[in-house]
Amino acid sequence: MAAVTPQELFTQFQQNTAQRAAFMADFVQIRHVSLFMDELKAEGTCWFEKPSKLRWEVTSPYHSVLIYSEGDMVRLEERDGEWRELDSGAKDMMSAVMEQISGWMQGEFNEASTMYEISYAEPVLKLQPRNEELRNLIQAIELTIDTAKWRITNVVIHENESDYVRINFMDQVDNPSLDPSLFDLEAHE
Amino acid sequence: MNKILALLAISMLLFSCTQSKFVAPKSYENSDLKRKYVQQVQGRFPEAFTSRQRIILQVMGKEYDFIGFLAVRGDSIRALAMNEFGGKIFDILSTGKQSKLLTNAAKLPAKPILDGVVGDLRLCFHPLPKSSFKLGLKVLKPVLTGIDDIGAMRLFEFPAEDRDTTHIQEILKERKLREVDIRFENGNPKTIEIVNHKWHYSMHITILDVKPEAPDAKLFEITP
Repeated sequence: MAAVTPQELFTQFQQNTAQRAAFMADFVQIRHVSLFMDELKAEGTCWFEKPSKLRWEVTSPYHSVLIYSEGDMVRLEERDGEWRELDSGAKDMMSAVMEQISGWMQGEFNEASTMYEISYAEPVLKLQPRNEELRNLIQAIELTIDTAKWRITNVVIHENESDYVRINFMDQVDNPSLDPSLFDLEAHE
Repeated sequence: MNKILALLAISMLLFSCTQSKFVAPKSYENSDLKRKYVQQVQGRFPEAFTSRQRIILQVMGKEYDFIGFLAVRGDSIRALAMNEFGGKIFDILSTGKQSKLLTNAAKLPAKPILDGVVGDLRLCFHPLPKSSFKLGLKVLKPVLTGIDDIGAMRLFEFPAEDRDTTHIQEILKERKLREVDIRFENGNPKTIEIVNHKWHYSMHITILDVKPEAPDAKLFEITP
């Protein structure tokens, strides 16, 4: 059987997730820092709604929320039991990252192909930055795709040969009933 | 991101000229109180440890969030700042009086990091020799002072009994360089608030953990 090309994968992904208007999933994010021979584990939940609403909430070991909604974003941080909105200086960069992630969640990689060299060896889709400056920060991004359920189950951001951030998604629920306030950029907890 | 961080560094440079004036405390004799205060400020952190932190940096009204990895052994410090979704921002190694910026992904000017951040870390984690401490009075309240290896004065203030916070100021030539509040809970460090007057930024650090084991020696070696 001939290997599936990245473009064929994207088409299949989009066809098979056309009815998925929203989903929520828990995640575990492991940051491996070889120099310190250490890992930092963070846990949380993400919510996604088409076309481009994403809420990324870290609940442990600190509590922060990133809400991205159609081009704009807020960053909230809990301090001493109270929430405050950060006047983020990295808003443009984080918006771009959130926009990228929300596209990938729907199998949209057309824009990614201008930034990354893309290859696919089932079940892993690999994106390598074309830009040298970006490559100095991120060597490659690997997305593991469960083609039985058409879900991204795992993302690994490789900084170099030995340092990475791995995000495992679990307990994904498709088309849940989502409270609109989850993506509200104004209403803060 | 690079542009933003470069702006941040430039703003630090531009505002580095204005600093607050400091009035030295009057001398005060009370050997029991002095001993108690010296015990309180020495040994609050292990001599060697590693720690992970959540950091919010505020400069020019904008805020930047990072994940920090820190290793301290004696007078050596290794500090790594990273983005939430991966990527080092900077990596500092400071041994004794020498500090180096080993990674500087955002191409920041080195001075605000090596003078600013390294100085902040030294104030937080490097104890002074016991013999350098003096007791003083500031607005009728006893305070502890000590002189560090660059000739700057550290002034320690102790809040009311119900708060487990140490307030530290660093003063050089009557100018307040930085002040730090370290808050403990049940003897464990929880948060550090830093106001750097020289470079005009502040940092809120949530300490996620402190591991009191000696960090690997290679953390303090400069590898080519």
